[in-house]
Amino acid sequence: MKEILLEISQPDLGSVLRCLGYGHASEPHPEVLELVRECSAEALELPGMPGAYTLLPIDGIDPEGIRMQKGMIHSRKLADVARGAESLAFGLVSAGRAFDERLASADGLLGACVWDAIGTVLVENGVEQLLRVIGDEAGCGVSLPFSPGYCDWELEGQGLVFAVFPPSPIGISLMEGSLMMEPQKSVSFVACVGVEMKPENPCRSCTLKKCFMRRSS
Amino acid sequence: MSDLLEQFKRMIVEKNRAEVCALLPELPKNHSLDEIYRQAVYPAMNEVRDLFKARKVGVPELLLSLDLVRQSIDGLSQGSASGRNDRHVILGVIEGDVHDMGKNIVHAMYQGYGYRVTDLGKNTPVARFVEVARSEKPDLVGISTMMSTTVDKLKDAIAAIKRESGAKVMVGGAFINREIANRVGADGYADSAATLIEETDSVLAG
Repeated sequence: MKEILLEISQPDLGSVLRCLGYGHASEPHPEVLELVRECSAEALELPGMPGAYTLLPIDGIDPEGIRMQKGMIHSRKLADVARGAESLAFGLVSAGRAFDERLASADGLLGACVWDAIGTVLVENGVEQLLRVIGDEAGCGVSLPFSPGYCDWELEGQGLVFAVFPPSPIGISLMEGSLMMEPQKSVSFVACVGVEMKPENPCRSCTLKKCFMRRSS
Repeated sequence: MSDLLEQFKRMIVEKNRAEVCALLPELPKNHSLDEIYRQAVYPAMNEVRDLFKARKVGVPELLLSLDLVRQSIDGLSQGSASGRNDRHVILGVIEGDVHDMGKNIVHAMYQGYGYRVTDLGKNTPVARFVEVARSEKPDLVGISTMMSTTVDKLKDAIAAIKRESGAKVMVGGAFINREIANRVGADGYADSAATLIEETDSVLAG
């Protein structure tokens, strides 16, 4: 496992507003916009985000999923993306306990809602940073990340992701039964690594058109 | 309705914090708490929920209005139960889940409509739900969860609460729909804060 401290950069205003549910129909109230800007500026003072990854060889790819030494990843979509990949990168990114504490002390419901959206944007940005590090180390292409519980990969896949890391990697623990991660703003993922891999959007082939996590580009 | 109440209601709907704060000291001079709640606060909440249902405002705007209502209630009632309805709700997020945003919105919505709320927080063990429901005899227990992995605990909690306290149980959360709510034995289900009050009325009337 390799650990890396990821940089916290200014959360993109448009991304935060999308997380808050603003689309084409409604515009944010000025008080909401002001709060988003204030909290985004304050987020820059948080400590960096810990990240970790490990690259593992693929044993085989079946139509139902990907065979790894530690077990099978049951996802037809990921298996499709993985054709031509040489290895899988298992990754973790967390906004850390400091972020959870800031979220818990947010001023009122709106404050909590805004901090929650900012946390989502921060860890997604952290995942992008980590994917670049993985690509640079491997010297080849990296697919977009897949997380357990999304697309056609069941949440139970968290067990396999955490099995490739030592206990409580970068301070993240899995809650028994629910498989939730603590700290709350943490992301686990796998990405396919290989010379033919590109960050193509797998959501384009998914039928869940109204999925909250659907990636548009 | 008086011009003052009408203006107060409009300022909540428009989320005008400065005007709401300016009007607050004037209201009790001219109106009883019951009048303020029933003619301004509750109608304002209804209007905000309608705007939310019609997607003319988003969750943050709904929260802004709820925050203004909470601020108004705190300022006006100062501990008095006048204007409240007599319903008591226990809320919590089931064990195994720490997502409490939805539960907190539901808490604020119930408070805005004058319910007495006991909030058990997040990651609440089944035994805690049962213990508090048994001792406080609420009209309703609301259980929230975002994670489908908690569904067995949810089912256990609903059965135990009904058996031990006789309270009605409603559920809500990201993966829950009416079919799942029925399957786990809930008496009702609200798909969002916008439909919460009508669904609660319906469950408690049943």
